[in-house]
Amino acid sequence: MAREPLKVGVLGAGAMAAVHFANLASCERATVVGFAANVVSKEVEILSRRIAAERMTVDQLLAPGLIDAVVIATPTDTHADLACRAMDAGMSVFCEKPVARSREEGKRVADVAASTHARVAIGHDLRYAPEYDDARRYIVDGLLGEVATVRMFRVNVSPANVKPWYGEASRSGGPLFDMAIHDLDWCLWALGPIRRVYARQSGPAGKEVASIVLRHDCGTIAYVDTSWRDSRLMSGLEVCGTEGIYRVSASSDAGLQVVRGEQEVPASYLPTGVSDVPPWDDPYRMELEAAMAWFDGGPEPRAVLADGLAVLAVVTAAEESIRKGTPVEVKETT
Amino acid sequence: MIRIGLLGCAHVHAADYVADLRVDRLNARPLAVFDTDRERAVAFAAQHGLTVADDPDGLCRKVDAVIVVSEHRRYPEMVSAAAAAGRPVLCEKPLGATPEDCRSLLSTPAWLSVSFPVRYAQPVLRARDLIAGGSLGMLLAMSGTNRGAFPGGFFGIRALAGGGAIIDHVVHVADALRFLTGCEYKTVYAEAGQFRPVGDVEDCAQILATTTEGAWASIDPSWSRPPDMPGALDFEMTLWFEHGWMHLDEGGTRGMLVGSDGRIAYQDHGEGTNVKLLADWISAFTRGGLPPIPASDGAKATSLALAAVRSAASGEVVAVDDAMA
Repeated sequence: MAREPLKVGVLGAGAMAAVHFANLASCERATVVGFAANVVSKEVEILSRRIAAERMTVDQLLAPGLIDAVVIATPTDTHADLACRAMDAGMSVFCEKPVARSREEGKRVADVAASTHARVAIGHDLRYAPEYDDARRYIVDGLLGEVATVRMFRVNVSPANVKPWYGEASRSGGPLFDMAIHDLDWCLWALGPIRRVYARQSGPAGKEVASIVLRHDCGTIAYVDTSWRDSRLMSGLEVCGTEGIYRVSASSDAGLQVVRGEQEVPASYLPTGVSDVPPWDDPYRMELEAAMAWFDGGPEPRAVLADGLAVLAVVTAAEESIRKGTPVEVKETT
Repeated sequence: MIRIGLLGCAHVHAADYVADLRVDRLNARPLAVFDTDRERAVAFAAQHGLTVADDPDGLCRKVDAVIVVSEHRRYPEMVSAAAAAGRPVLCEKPLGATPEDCRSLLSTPAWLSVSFPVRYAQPVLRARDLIAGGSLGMLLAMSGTNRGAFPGGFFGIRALAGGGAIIDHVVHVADALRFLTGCEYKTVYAEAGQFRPVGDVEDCAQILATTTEGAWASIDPSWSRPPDMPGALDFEMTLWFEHGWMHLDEGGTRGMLVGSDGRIAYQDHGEGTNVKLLADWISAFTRGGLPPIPASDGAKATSLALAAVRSAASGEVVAVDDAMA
């Protein structure tokens, strides 16, 4: 490659940061210069040493001129502020979902992006997952006819078992903002705008189980189950159209179930076997490659700031519905 | 030999009852049928080896007990004929397709049991035992489906059916959750629509209810399956409790039969839930016992469906008790 690779910094050093570190290490367009984090996981420590990425403070990392792009993989409530600082420093941003914890924070990110013209990609990796990509294509190509109903689910152990901040709803937003947001984003991507939302939630903080009913502008009735009370990460979708049905189990352990000794609850809340997915089918790798290519002058990736804000409007409407106990119309954020 | 008559044969389940009543151990015999559409009654009787009665009262006089399997909206008149003749009734679900019908059926003097065969399914009975054991703790949430293909006939006509997929399928899951956990419903919200030409009713819906104890319960009752799909009719529930969760799949017990042309059929084995329900019903009225599934249970499940119909029309969350007032 004739050109200099993009100089990238990583904010955060937890589970998702480790995934991004590994994918940046194999990305020819990017070189990781440094990272900043309060707590550094074992995986990130090993990976950062291997690629000679230096640990520094956030101020050092975001100082203008050091890096071209930043990958944000910190707790949810810090995303918006860090994204704004990076954009103000002239950087491109890849931000883990959700783009912000609240609609107000989302608005701030939108304003700063508008004034700085920064490129902001959002980590809605489902758009790169082969089964969800297929499901959307079957809809867009008309294979399933008019789509009447969509059922999706995404359940997991509580990540608060490992990372306590997930258990604070004001910081993480619970499974709604952590899990269901993937499915809601897919709904927007595949079926267009969502008109209204009705949602219910039970269970204590960090162990919530929630249900979301959606009505799309196109008429489709979509439904999402999400939970932090299950024994492992499982997900799936079913699309019922007037001309056909597509159903797939997207669980990362689909096709293989293992029970080890007395162990009931796995220590990790991330998909099992992430490292076993071949690179051409790995959504985490593809979303990051696509973002880096965009930052480098290539085409726009599948999920950008506008998409992150659109799904933020839906998920915050769901949160409002839970609080009020009524259906909520989804309003535009920008 | 107990003689059984059918009040109505418009319902898709009418033929199932006739076949199941002929199982030896029931010591029963389907004898006669009445239907407001005489041609339909004659054709049904010829096909199933029954005699035709001229009116509901005439049918009741010929038999020891009756099964009401007419169009939903005719249940009240059929049940009141059976009440007048003093015949025990098995009433097909729902218990009324409007609030007025439901109240009328609830106050009938007839000895009436409601048909919820899901209560006799092995996974449901096992789940009920597990939950009764208490170690799972309180119910937090339930996500259920009871989807199938459009049944055809009067099911697409609001004046006869009272509604579409919501009226047809919500009650099974609604009753099963009450049967499993003893919960009662407080509110419901529903989105519904018609996506295929099925008449003047909804064919797809999603409902989300709350219980008086603060749990949520969702039901997908949609006729979202194509007519010939193998295993189209499902009945599944995921239940989350304080101390665990379970997934219940009534169809999980079925076997798969593949023909030489590659066609797949899902086959029940052993005695079906319908036969178990009939046996329980016959045993109860012949021994002078109480109805196994009383009208009050039928009304509780039905009121959730009726409230969901109202929510789908108004776009608002409906208090389940208000929908019956």
